[in-house]
Amino acid sequence: MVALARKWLADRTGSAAMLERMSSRRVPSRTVTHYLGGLLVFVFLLEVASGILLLLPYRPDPAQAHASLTAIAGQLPYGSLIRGIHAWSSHLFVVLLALHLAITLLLRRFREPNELIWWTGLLLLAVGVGMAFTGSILPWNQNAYLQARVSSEMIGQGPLFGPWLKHLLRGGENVSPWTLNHAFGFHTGVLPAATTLILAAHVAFVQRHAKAHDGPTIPAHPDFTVRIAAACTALLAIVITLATFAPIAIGAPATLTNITSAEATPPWYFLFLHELLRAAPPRLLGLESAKFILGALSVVAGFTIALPFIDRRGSRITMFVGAIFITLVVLLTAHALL
Amino acid sequence: MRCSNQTLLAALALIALAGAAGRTAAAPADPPAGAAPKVATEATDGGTDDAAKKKRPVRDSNTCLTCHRTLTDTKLRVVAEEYEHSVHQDERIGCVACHKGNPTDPTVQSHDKTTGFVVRPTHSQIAATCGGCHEDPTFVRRFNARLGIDQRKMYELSRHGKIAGAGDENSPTCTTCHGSHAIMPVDSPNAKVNRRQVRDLCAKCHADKEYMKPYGLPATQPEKWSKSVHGKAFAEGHEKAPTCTGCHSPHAGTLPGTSTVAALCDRCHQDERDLFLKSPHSRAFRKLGLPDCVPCHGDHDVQRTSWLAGMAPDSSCSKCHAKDEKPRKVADEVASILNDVEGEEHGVSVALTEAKSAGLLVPDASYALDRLHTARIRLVATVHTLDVAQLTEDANAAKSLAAEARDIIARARRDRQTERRGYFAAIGVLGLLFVLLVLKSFELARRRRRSAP
Repeated sequence: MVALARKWLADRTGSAAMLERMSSRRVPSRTVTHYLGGLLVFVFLLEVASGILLLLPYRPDPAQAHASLTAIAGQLPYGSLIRGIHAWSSHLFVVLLALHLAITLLLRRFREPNELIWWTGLLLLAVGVGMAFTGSILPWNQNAYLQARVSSEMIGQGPLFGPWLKHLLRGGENVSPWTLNHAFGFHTGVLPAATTLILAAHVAFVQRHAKAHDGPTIPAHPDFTVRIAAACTALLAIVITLATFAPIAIGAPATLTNITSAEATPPWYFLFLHELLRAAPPRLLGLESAKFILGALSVVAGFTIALPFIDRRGSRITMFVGAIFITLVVLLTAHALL
Repeated sequence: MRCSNQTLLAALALIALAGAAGRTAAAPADPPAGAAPKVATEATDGGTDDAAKKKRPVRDSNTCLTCHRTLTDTKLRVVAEEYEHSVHQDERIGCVACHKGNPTDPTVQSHDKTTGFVVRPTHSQIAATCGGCHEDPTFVRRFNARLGIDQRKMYELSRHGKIAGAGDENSPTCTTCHGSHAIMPVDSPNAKVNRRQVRDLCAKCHADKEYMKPYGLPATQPEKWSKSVHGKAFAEGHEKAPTCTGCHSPHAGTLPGTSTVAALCDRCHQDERDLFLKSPHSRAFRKLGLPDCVPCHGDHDVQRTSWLAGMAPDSSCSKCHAKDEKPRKVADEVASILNDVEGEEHGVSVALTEAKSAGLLVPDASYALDRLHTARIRLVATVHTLDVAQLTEDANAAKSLAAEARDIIARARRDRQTERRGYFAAIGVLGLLFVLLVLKSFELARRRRRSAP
């Protein structure tokens, strides 16, 4: 009976053929990037699942947002667990993304024919940070409000699209109730949809161009599938442990008065920038330092995007410069946190 | 180049000269007798002397200060210093406002009593001296539009003023409370009459047994007030809590429209008074000629009712009803109702604190506790009716709020336990799955090795 049902399904969906294809493909047996990639897909799915559960009772209205979140965490069965999973996973998502990208950069895997994999990866980083950031606004607590103000102001200092992006994030010239609406729209609609599409493309390109690696390989299925499943299980255990025993506080509701006295700290993934800006003199090379630093970072981003063309061979210089840049960002972030 | 240097030198010399001229004009060290020095005021100007065009401190029109600031006799120097830091420090008032005499005469002849100079106004002159300005609306208005002009009249109506009028030199007059030279505005933290200092100011006389004896007054009020709910509330920083002047008007003693103590309490405690008028006490007190609030609450040593009710030896009820059967029963009932509800509130508040520190989110319990607190305050007010049926009803409403809060907390605790159990179950399942997957992975690895050529 079961066999019949399976055959019926396999005939109609081609799942057997797909498994067949997967088994014929091989994956390097010692690779961190593949594990990280698999974990990232899993964390994204975890975010979608917990996000949908949060989407139903959450109310994206400045007067209701904080209270509805308090109700979710305080009254709904397993509400605080779901919220904890969602919040912790979002931090993990950014951490794993950064790691995934850093390793790819250091191993110079952006070379031909992986350009599209590289670019979709960079896009995913931008979208991932965007999701984490818009998500941090949704609780509409004091810190969220201040972050929305300060971070969007920062983004507005960026070159070319900066002012336009700031306007888009704020939903107007200033941070207002529309900011919450925009953040909600981006966080629950635009960005997850974009992530899904880009991720699908990214995985498809990986499947297509996974170059035959030097060193030992194992079948993608079932060998690698089992391994990644074990890794995902461990990660889920870590996430629910964090969500249960290290809950992320909702904080006090935003009051739009008396905010000058409070100091807004940006989310940790912007901290390196925050540190740079704090240490910088007011003007650099005749520009406001904020404009200068964001301009410089945009140039770095441009170089990163253009890397497959700049460094066709994957020389050691790229690895060296990349390592220095990554170390700097990590050190600045650590300095701000400690 | 050299030319401009010379100009610079000339300018410097001029400035130095001007400075010296300014100094000599400001401090006439040894002027010839009878010759009054030219004094710059706002109206007149040096004119001839270019350096004097620089406006000098207006104070120098008051030459009393010029000398008194420099005197070695401390008593005479301090009056100048105190005056200069007082609210009267203004050349339109000056020393002459009270002491008369000629302020522009810097010689000792200005102290000649024949010119009208007053060394020190006598006790009986002081009120009139202050009133000279303080009863003049046009004069007072020039300095402070919100300042009253009835202080002297009020004072004369008060007991202080009456004994002073009868020639009692020990009675307080304006300067007794306000000081004579270091007079500060009432809202200045340094003023003796400021709310924060006023209790100690009154205590200077009213806590002195010997001093109060001739007037037949107890000297216990300041001490009693400090131990009362009012004094404690004030000490805890409740600025609106009444100090001495909260009930005794600062100048008149009695506040307008308060012929009885009850009418005074009424100013803040209206509900209690309305409820009291419904009680059997109201009629009985009137018959006995007792002031409404005082028999139970005292006057200066007002205490919390929950300590007063009941039949404990030091309670209010036992003062009158030590041997009365029915009132004793009512008193005990009232006390037990109050203690019950107070205990409930305390219990809920402790439980809530514990729940919060355990990280439970129980905003509804906080809200129930707030309502419980309000209910208890209302209950304390209802005690004034002595209506046990009403009290019981209110107390039950309060208790149901306490139960509601406890239920919410208990439910949150149960939910937390359920979640914890769920967590450990999930970790168990995930652990098992992980082990199985790892084993499977090893098995696959073995299979790969076997199939490898």
